[in-house]
Amino acid sequence: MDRVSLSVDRGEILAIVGESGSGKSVTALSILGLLDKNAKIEQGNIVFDGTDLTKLSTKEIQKYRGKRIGMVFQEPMTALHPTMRIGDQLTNVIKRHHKLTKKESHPIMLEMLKDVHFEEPELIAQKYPHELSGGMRQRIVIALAMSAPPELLIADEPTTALDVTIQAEILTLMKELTQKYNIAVILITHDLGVVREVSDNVCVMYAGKILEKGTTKEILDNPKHPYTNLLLRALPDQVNPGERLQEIEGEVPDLKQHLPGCIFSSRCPLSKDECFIKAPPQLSLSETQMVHCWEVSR
Amino acid sequence: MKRIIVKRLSLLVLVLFGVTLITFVMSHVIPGDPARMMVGQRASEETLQKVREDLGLDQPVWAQYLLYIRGLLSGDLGTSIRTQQPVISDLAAFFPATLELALYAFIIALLIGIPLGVISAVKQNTILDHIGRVFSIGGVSIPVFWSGIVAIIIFYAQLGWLPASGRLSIGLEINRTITGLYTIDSLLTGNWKIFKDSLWHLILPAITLSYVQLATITRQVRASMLEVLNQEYIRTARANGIEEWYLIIFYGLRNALKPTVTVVGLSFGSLLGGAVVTETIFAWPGMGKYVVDSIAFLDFPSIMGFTLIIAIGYVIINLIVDLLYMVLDPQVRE
Amino acid sequence: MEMQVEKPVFEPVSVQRKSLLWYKLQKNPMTLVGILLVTALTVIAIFAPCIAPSDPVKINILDRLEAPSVKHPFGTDEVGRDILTRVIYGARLSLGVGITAVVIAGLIGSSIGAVSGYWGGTVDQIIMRIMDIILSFPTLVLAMTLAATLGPNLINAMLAIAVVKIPVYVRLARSEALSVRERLYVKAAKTFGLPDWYIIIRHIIPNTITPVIIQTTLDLGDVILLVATLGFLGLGAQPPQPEWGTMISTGFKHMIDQWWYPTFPGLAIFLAVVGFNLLGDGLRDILDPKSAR
Repeated sequence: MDRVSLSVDRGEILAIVGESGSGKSVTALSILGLLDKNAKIEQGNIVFDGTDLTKLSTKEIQKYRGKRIGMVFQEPMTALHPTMRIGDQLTNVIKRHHKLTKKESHPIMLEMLKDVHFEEPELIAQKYPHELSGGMRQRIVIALAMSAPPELLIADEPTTALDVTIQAEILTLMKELTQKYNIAVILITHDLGVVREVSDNVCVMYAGKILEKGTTKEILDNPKHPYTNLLLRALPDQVNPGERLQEIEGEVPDLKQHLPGCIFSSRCPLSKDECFIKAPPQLSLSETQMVHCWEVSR
Repeated sequence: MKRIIVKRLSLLVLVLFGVTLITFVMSHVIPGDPARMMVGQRASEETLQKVREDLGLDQPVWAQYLLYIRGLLSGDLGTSIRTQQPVISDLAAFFPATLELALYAFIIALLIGIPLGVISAVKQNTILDHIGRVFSIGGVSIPVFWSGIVAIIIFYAQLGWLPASGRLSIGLEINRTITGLYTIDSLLTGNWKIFKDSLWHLILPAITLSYVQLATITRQVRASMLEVLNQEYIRTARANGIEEWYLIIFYGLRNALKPTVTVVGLSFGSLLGGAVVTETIFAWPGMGKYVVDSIAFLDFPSIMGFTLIIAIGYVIINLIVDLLYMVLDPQVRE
Repeated sequence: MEMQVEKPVFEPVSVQRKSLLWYKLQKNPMTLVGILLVTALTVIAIFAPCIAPSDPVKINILDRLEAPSVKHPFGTDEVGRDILTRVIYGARLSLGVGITAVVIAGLIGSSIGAVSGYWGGTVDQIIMRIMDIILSFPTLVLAMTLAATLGPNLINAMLAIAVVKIPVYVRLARSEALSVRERLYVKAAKTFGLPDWYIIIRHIIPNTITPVIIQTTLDLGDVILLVATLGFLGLGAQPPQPEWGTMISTGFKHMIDQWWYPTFPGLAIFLAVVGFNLLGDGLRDILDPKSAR
């Protein structure tokens, strides 16, 4: 990704929206140095609170993992250790963040389980992941990520792998905990429905570039960028029954390719010649809303 | 879990039946007449007939098998042609030496094999990994009798550092055996001299014997560690701030040990086979040396007795391994 | 949304495989070492009479137990035979006996497995339990006992080893047969009323051949080691046959003063087995992408 700067306040949720395959997850993983050995960040940097995380040694980045930045992953079925009891997995993390003994972490662990809406934390602590449903596991993953609690939480498609009925429950929980612990949350998603549900601000990204950002209300009610418009029209509830869902033709361009014009020009239904030649200007539409687009500037 | 244990135990019974059947059949297809072998060429026809009756050789085969089983159940494995002693008491006398050797070899294999496999996996494709892999390929390819001989040539004949035969130096004797394992007995009786000497004698044979199993364990731990470390739950734990060494040992190794346990169980087969050869090379007075000496005499009761005991031991070891596997994996436990 | 039909796979698989194979070989130099060792062993075995400097069994008592020299690079044995010559001829025995044993085990085992898997039911259950029983003996111990029972010579050792290796092939061929049995063309053949033996020979066996051949390569190192071990224990080849294990068995008595006697035949066993193991490992990596890491 080239230069993207995001700011999130504590207690707020910023949603990053973009379609699958646009490099969101890889970026999320690279923040905490969690990429595989063979996938390295070739260039660029990730600055968090004034520190370039990509320049840190493994030992230094260790101080950020979980303590200052937490992560929730997409796949709750495989994210928990299969042969370790839930309680142990939690206390293992809690005792590190709070510098406590295992015994001292126990009540905090139970408290955490209560926070993620388990009525009988003692019982759940004794269970193994395979004894829990996907939604329950995702709540555990959230508890793990929040246990420090960190300053920033990155949730990468936290509800994608779950049943629709459970998605809302998880989202509400995240919103509740964001405020309770006063954490800044970056929610990565492809689903504008999720955005509407929880986020305060939205940032629409495409192939590593921000195309539009603003408050959730602004983006959903008054989208300016053609891409945002297309994404909104692709939502299932935007069409009448029987009607065909809108799709966006084409594919996300290769991130390594350097295009001189607007990154979305190849798929944009409104693109003109200048879109292909020169990068679009940044236009501020309000205090909070901002868009990169030639069409809007005309 | 109970059901699995019951299932395993019933399989054990079946296997024991099969094993006894095989050893029985083998000892009855031996060319030659066991009765004649026992009494010698010059005995009269009458004595021969009497011995035949004693051995039950005049009865139909199925009755002979029943006799054989009844004998087994009362601990009768026949009489050794070579030593003229009951096979069972011969084996019992030689068993502790084999147990001690195998035990030390196994401990060495575990203590070195597991860390080596972990390091190899964590440092995949580095020079450390390459050395580890060459080392373990060597272990499964080297003939035990040859590595033993080379060890003797180097450490005994050339350098003179270590003893190369027997359990104790000549002149030393252990007066009281409790377990039959000299290192343990000498500790129990506080006899430091014997303890040091017996440990000294164990070094070469135990290391020689451990190499095969050590290599198997290293290879397996490396392979399963590589697999486990790529799992998502490792990534989650890492993202949550679990430090690397803790992650490798308590999150990774713990799961990598599951497949390893099975392989270790199976590798006891090569350990037991290797013990036969190792004992021969190092003049170690165990069951392996006993059976090799018996082979030279074509002493079939001893050979069959040994085979039976080893097969039963091997089956029991693998039963224990299965149970251990269940302890390690809560999903199998239910 | 439109339906998409995935492109049917008509790519020139062989071409792709070939380049991939090369790529994998280059990435894994150990496999190349294995290929080299196995090739060298084969060449030595085939051309032993041309390569060997002297006669493997000719006794020359005046030259007995000589240390390695230019004339006898590996020294001589207790009756003055050139050890290098005997090691070279030993390659013939080990490779010959090893391959024969594996082929016997492969043929018998995969036939039993194919029939067992195809028929299923009680026959299958009985056969598999018998295999379980054979597998419940440690390999070497069972081979030892069998060889002792049959009588100690090279042929019997070979047969004993073939027997202990059979279960591996039975299991392999059986699992293959189980999956082939469910294929449509086999079911179709059945509905046409074709006899079982025809289906087994025409469909089941051909499908099991490839995995069985791969397994034989994997097993060869192990089998050569077993041949040598039985030879060492006096249950295989008998003197004066130039078999590696048997040579070490005699050399063992001379190891303190004539270190070269047991050392060189042992080195030969080691290199032969390492060669096959490296080759086998490499093959597995190339053919089974799951374990390729």
